[in-house]
Amino acid sequence: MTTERDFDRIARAWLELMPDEAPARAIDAVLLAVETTPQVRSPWRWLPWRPTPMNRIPLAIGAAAVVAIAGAALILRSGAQTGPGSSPSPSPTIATSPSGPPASAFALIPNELRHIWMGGNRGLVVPGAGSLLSFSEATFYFAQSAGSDAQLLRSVASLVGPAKLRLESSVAADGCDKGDVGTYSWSLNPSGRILTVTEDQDACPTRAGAIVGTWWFRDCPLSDDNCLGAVDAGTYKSQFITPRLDPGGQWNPVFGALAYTVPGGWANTADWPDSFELSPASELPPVDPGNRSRSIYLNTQPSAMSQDKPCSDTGQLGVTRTVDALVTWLGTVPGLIATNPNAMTIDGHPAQWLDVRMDPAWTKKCTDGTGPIVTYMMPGTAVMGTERERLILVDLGDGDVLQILVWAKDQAIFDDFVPRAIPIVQSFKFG
Amino acid sequence: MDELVERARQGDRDAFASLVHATSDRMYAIAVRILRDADLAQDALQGALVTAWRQLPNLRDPARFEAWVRRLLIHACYAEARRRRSWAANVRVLPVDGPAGSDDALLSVVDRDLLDRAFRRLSVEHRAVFVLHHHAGLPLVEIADALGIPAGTARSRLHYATRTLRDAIEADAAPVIPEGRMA
Repeated sequence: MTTERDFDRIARAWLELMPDEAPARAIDAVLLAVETTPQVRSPWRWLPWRPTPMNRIPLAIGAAAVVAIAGAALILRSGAQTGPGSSPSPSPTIATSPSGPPASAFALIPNELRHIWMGGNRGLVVPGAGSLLSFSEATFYFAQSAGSDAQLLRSVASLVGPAKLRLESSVAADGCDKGDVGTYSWSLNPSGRILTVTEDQDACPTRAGAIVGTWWFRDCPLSDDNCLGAVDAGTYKSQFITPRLDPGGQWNPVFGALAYTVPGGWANTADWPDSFELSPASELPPVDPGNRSRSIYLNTQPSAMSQDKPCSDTGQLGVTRTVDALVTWLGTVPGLIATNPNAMTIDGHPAQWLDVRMDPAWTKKCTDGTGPIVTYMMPGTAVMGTERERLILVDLGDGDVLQILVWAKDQAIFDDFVPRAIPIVQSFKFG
Repeated sequence: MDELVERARQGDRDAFASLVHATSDRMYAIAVRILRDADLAQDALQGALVTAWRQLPNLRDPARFEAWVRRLLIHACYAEARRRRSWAANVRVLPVDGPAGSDDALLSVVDRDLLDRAFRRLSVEHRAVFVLHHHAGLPLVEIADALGIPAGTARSRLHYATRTLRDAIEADAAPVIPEGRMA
């Protein structure tokens, strides 16, 4: 038997075996990129919080592109950075295309379009998966939104009118010949978060079939997560979460496995294969993650956590993963005060909800804990301090259960938040 | 460090270069331990540092620079892991020969291999908590802050990761090096 102290020493020794020095080439690549990357000084609400993916290859391509269009970039850098909310606007013009001929004048892609845009399945990607469009100041590509980073339909992009886009294939691939040119009209809604693209003409019909339509601005506060971030009022679909995926099963992307409708002022703050989150947009940065106060959090396939080994993510023996069994068991969890379960229906699926909180007299902590906590559901569901949670367990059929947690930091926030959150939960559709 | 951060916030690229040199080893060490892949770790480091440069004017407290970059790095690690998720089966194992230390005798070749295999079965979120705790030595409250998760979740993830790795060692004491291991 390995004692805890022994294990800690073994773990540290094992971790020490890995390198501690950043390769010089990685640092050089960062400093090269910084030389050509402007800082963002806009008000926080317009920040493109998501960084551009910075693999080494894009870094190299980016450096070459910057050299090719250095003059134009200098002009652009002197202008103000804009974000969503702007309407199509003129951009600086440059005299030659980075790809060579044609040599006619064109303009750089405007700031309001230089983002990742998320959408549904458009072909070229695996069946069922979503898609994305990526615009930089002079390039464009199309890609699967989840599970693959292959760049398709790579094109030189330019503006040939106030709301006219020109794409010229930079490689012969994906059904397009190198040099194929297409022109498109584009528009943004007033907030700048919804992009509509229509075809004027394109020598490559594959490209036209892939990019026309409506796209959502990807503005996730979590680095390169593919969540949407702040969204306008409307109905949206997930890219990653798959509520019916068995634990440990092979994940494949499914666009729209969850659809949801939100009023204005909300944000999609996480989208993972096994979890998903919606939060009031007021919880986005610059609010520190540690100071967030409420959200709607979804976990797929929850199961009871052993109360003999709390905090360990060990399953509770004898509690099957069914809504009825879990709800019954929750009434027995030490330290957890739960209301009686109530029935509801979500997208035609039977569900039960109950409100839970920690007994104020509860004193047990996790081994390294700094305060009393009740860990009750896997993965990682716990309640502590003044937190209040409405736990909704949805029976999706075929043994699949979805956990929806309407969480708030304290009772007052909870009382205010639940009436706003439940209509959103009731809007859920499971694809 | 605070002065460098302030200068970098004003757009001083030399100051930012100094910050990169001062922090990149620690950041890379975290990334490579979480991702278990040198190339992915470089990508995560580059992404985090370039993002740091872009967003630096919006950092309110210069004293929190390193914690802030660490948070960017963790999210960059998540992104790298996600992008490569479909290739997970092909992730190569890092070479095990590293700096010799007094704990070397403690760690058998079999233990290394068992830990490698068990660690790669953990989600990147569990790996991050484990590395920040056991390698970076961060308390759970700071880990929760770095990951943007409740402290209870950080605790739960640490216990799960620890239990998984500990069980891997205890469940397989047979002195056999499994086939397919790449050195």
